[in-house]
Amino acid sequence: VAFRAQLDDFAGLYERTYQALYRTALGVCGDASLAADVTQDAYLAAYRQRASFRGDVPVEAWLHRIAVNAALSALRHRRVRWVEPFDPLRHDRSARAAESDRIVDIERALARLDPRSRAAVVLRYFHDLDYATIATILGTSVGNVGSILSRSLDRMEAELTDGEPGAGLAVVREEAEHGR
Amino acid sequence: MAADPRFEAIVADGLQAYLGPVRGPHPVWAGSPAQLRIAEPAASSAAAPARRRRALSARGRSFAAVLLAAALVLVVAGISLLAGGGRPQVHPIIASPASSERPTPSGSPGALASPAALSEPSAGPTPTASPCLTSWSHAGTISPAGLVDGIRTVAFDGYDGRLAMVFGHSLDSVQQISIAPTRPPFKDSAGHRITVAGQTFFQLALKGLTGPTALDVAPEEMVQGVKPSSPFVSTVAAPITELLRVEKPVARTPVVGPKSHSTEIWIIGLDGPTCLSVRTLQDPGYGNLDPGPNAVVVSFDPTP
Repeated sequence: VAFRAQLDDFAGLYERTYQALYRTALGVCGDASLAADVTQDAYLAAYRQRASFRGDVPVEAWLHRIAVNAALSALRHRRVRWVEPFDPLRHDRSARAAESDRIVDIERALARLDPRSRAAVVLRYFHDLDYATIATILGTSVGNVGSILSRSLDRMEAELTDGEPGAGLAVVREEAEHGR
Repeated sequence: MAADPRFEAIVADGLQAYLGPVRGPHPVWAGSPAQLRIAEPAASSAAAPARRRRALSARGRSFAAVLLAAALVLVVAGISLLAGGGRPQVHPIIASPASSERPTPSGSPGALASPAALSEPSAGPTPTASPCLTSWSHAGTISPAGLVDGIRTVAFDGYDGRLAMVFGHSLDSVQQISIAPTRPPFKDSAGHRITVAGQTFFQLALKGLTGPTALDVAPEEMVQGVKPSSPFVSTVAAPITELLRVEKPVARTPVVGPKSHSTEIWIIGLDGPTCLSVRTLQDPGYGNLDPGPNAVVVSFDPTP
């Protein structure tokens, strides 16, 4: 069975899926160090649970489910962040100032959401997963995923428009409005 | 409400810009923390038979050494009997009083260590005594005047048995933070007698605040074993038994005069004698833009 072969080559599975899981964890946690820990916890849990996985969902969705649960659990237990929040542009800030504004905006808007909604938004709009897969990962119904996403977008839009949107986001908004 | 496709595109683009270039620090399985944790028990169990063999071998060697020593004693005793004809003198072994003493913790007066804990006989070599800190204080050196959003604790939590306090500004703008042992009876600001769960207690005083700490949970939920009603909100855990605020600051200004009252007082209940371990750190996650630490994390370690 394909999924069994994937799990037997756990190193290969890890290396194929690691960056996707890490990015999901970062989107949910908003903290690079915590996301790195969460990702490792998720793979450790997956390795230990691999014998009980029945292949009822794709392996990647199963891994994402473990990673999202690990991230939610970590956020419940780690209220104080010990490290500087991740700044993906710290090495190239001047060259990518507009990009930086856009990232700051999206991070700020994500931070306004509860962690489960953040997970739904990242899975939908970053990983481009369908509602059914997101429902499997979050352990909820397809209808509830739609409602979580709708509420989340409303909230993010309010945050991005009522706050002080950065230049980067303004450019993106303008481009989108002109049917770029 | 139907999603706005234009805004969905904005969010998708923003997420691509944010998460797309990011690379996690452990892309290879071999040597990743998870792989090492999996490998560790296996290595331990593989090493176990060898360790056991070494232990048995050492045990065998020590048994042989005991036999040899006993034989030597018998030979020496026999020689002395033959030479002197008298009985060998037996010197009673007297336990040294020092062997049952442990170094007294060099903490400040009012240590919470119980006498029973301090009088336990030590086993093996005397460990290096680490000081048992039983009180701690921090005095701010920067005037808080001009900080329009005031001085207050923006997070206050005992989530994993450690008390974490995060301030919106640098700790140097907080007039004073002090933790000291206390004991019942406790009273609230109205003078009513109150009880706090625990065996030993500390009093935490935060001076120079302009507003009370906004709590994420109801006060009655800051008790060990009580599940918080809000999701993603933690509360207190052992060794903390309860965190109870007994006094709230009422001043609206950080300028503290003799008649101003801007102190928040908490009683920290613990499940046994405890030494403090205090760390200060910078937590920019709460919007602190000042230089220097803005968070205090207090650990409660059992008295040695």
